[in-house]
Amino acid sequence: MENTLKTKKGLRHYRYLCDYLAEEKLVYEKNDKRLSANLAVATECLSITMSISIDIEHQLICLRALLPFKIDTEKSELHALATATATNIVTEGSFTLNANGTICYKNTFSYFDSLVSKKVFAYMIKCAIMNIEELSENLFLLDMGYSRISDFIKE
Amino acid sequence: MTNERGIKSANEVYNTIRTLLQEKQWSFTESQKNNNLVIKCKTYGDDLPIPFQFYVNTDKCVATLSSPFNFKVPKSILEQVALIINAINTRLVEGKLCYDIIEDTISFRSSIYFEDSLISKNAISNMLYTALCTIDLYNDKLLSMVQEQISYDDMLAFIQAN
Repeated sequence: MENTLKTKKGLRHYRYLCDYLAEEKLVYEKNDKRLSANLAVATECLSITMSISIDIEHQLICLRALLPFKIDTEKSELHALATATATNIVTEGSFTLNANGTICYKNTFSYFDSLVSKKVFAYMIKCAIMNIEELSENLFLLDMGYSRISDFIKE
Repeated sequence: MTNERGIKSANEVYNTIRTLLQEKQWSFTESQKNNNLVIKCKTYGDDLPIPFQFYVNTDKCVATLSSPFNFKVPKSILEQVALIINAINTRLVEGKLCYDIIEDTISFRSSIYFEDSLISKNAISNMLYTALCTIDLYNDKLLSMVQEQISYDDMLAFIQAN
């Protein structure tokens, strides 16, 4: 019974997600089996791809995006400071550094027995675009050696 | 959303938080700051006290749970702590640890966006429970690292094991 309710709610949230993406005429590819959508957004300076999925079992909406460049893994301490600072600056989501040099932005929403509106997806996507656009240039310049961690923190 | 609807939704979320804390018989203080309805509370983990605040923003329709860790990070281990915070955040499913490298502080933050949504008591309860479990798991270990009682490698091993 509980599982049926969880599934029903998860499917409803997946439908809201797809409806929102279609209404906004965003470029996306959905996967009905995984209840996920991969979406591409082009801003003035960046092309951002992100994945949004519904986890029925844990009642979670998960948004993940990889920043469009890799960093030098030799500089992991420097980039850990930068991603920690970026995570502290943004109100929603976190930036994490992976061992292979990629930087991931992620944000999750636990809806536990709640009924969320399409606006939650709009909010999550807008926050992701804003945060990635605002901070990825800084992270990239830092990696290239064109800026220092102190410049990054001041901004 | 009109401001009136935002305020109504925010009050509903705020009252749910109040009810939840009252049911747990935890004492708390309430205040209002700008567009935020604020509840401050304190509980105890296995070892350290856990102070936390809820900020329910009536304008942005976001409820944020924030909990500052009660110690400062020495500048001498800045990079190591940043790497550890990164490792923890990589594993966290909900919420995040925030390391302020100017103030040398660490805090836990998580949030719920509630515009036009029906947020259940279970969702707020889950948010609080997840936050307290995460904080309780890591606060004493991070304090031990700051006090040089646990090495960087041991801390990393602990994160990977949990």
